[in-house]
Amino acid sequence: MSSLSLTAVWFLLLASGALLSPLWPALRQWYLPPPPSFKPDDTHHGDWDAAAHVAQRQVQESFAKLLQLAANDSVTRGAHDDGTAFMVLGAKNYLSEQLPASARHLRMQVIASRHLDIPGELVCDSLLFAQGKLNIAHNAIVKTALSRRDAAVGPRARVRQWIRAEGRIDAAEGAALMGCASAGREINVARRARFEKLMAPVLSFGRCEPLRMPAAPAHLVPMQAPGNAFIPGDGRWIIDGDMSVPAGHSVNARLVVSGSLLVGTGSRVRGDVHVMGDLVIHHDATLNGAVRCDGNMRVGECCRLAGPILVAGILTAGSQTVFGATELFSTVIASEIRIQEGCMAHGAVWAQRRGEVLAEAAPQSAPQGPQQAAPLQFQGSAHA
Amino acid sequence: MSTPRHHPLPPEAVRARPVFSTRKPRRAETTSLSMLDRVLQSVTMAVTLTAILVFALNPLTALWQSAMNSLVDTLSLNAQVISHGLHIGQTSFGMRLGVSMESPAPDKLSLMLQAVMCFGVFGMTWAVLNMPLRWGLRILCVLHALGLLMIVARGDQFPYSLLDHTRVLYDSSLIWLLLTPGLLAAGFFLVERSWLNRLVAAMLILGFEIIALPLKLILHSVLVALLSPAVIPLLFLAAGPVLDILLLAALYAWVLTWRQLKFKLR
Repeated sequence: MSSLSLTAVWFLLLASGALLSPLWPALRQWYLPPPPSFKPDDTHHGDWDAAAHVAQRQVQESFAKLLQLAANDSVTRGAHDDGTAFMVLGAKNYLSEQLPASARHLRMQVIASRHLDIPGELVCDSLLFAQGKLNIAHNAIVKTALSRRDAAVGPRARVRQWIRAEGRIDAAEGAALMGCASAGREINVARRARFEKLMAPVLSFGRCEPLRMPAAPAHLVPMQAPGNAFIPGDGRWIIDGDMSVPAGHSVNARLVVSGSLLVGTGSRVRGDVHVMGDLVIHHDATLNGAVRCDGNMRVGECCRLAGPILVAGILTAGSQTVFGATELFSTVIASEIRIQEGCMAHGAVWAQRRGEVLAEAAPQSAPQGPQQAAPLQFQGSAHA
Repeated sequence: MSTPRHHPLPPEAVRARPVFSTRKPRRAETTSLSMLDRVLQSVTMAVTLTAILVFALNPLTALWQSAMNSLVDTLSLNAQVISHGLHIGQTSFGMRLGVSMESPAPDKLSLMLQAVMCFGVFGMTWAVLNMPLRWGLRILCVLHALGLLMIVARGDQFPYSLLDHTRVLYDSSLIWLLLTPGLLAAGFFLVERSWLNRLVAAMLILGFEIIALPLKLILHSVLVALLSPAVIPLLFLAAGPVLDILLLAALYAWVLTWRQLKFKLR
C-alpha cells in the first residue's frame, strides 16, 4: 500500500461520512427488527363474537367480585395512574362517616358498592358511582354522577356536568341539572327546577297528575287555503305573511309561514310546520308533524305535539301538554324552555341556554285555558 | 293580515347553535393554484436556477479548482489538478477538471490482501446481507477481482488512468448538477405548495452537490493512492453517478417531509 499521511486517512473518513450523510437514515433499516408475523389465536376457532362475550363476562365477574370484596371489607382508598384519588365504600360504610365534620369539598372519586348518600352542602369535584341508589342531599354540588339504579337530586342541589341513572332520576324543587341528565326509565323534574338536556323514555315535569285528553270537537272542519297562500302542488302551503287556524279546524298540509302562525283551540295540523315568526298554539290543539320556529313558540294547555321541535327563541308550554309519544320518541330543542308543571315528554328535551319548570300559578304569557278562552289574536311581538 | 315579518335569529340562539370551526383558514387552504399555474411556476423556477448555474459555472470551476489544490496540498498527495477549457462552439463553459497522479506500482502483498478481502466479503454476503444488497455486493467483489486479475495479467498497466476517471466523474457530476433543477421541477416543485420550501430545498440540494464535487474527486484520488488503480471500476460503479442518484433521492425524500416554512418580513 502507498504511504499516506494520517491527515489523508482522517480526510478519507470525514469526507466519506459527509458525502454519505444523506444516506444515514437509510442505515437505520439495518437495525429495525422484522415485522412480527400475525399468528391468529385459534382458541375460539375464529368465532370472535363468542370470544368477546366470554371476555365481557369475565370482566363483569371480576368487577362483581371486586364490589363484593368492597362490600364486605372496610373502606378502600387508592389512586389511579393519573393521580386521581378514589374511595370504595362498602355496604355498611357511609360517606358522611368518612369525611371530617368541617369537610365542604370532596376531590376524590367515590365508588359505592351499594347505595351512596351525598351529604348536604358538599361540593364533589370528581366522579360519583353507586351500584345502588344515589341520593344527593340539599344544596350539594356534584360534577358527575353515575348510578346503576335510581338517583335523587335534593332541593337546590346541583349537577354540573352530567348524571346518568339506569332507573329513574328525581330532581327536587329548586334543583339544577346542568349538562346532560339521562335515565333508563324516567326523569322527573320538580317545579322551579332548572335543566339543560334531559334524555329518557319518559320526562315528567312537576306533579304527575293524570293526563286528560284534549277537548277536541267531534268533527273538525277542514280548513281551506287562505288568500295569501301559494300552493305549489306538493302538499305545501306557502304563506306570505301571518296565518291563523281557527278553532275546531284541521289543516292537512305542510305549512311554510313567513310571518307568525296561530293555531286555534282544539285544532289539528297534520303536516310539518315551518314558521319564520312566532308560533302560538292554543289549548287542546294537536300537531302531528315536525315544527320549526325561528321566533318564539307558546303552547297552551293540554296540547299534543308528536313530532320533533326546533325553536330558535323561547319555548313556553302549558300544563298537560305532551311532546312525543310513548311509542315514538321526540326531540325538543330550544334556546330557552319554560315548561309549566304537569307537562310530559318522551325522548329528549334540550334547552340550549336555560330550561325551567314553572309552578302552576306562575305562567302569565302562555295562552289561557279553556275556562278563560281568549280571542284568537297575537299577544305582541315575542322579541319585545 | 299584517305585513310579513322576517325575524332574524337572536344572537344567543346563534351562539348556542353548533358551529363547525372558528379557525381562520390558512392562506394555503384558501388559495388553490390550477395545474397550469403550478407547471408554469415550476418551469420558471427550474429555468431560473439552471441559468444561474450556467452563468456561475466559471466562478464555480475556479472555486472547485482552488479547493482541490488546497486539499491536495493539505493531504500531501503526489497529485496535480489539471484543467482543460470546456467549450461548446464559441462559448466557454468554465473548465474541465481532473486529477492526475503517478501512483507507484502496487506490490504483490497489497494485491493479495485485496484479493483475500474480496473473497472474504463475497463469502460474508451469505451470512449477513439480505437479498437486494447481497447480489450488489457480490457483483462489486467480482468486479474488483477482475480488476486485480487485469493488473496481474497486464503487469501494472491498467487501461484507465486516474485522470480519465476523475474527468468522467467531473463530467457526470456537472451534468447531474445542471439537471437537478429540472428534475425538481418535474416532481417536487409540482407537489410542494410553499414557494419558500421549494426555494430552500432547491438551494440546499444544489449546495450539497456543489460542495460534494471537489470532495468526491479528491476522495477517489486518495482511495486510488491508498489501494491501487484496480479500484477505479469499483469506485466508478459504486461511488460514481449511482451514488449521485442515491444522494439526490435521499435529499429529495427528506425535503418532502418538511412542514411549511414560515418567513416574516419585519
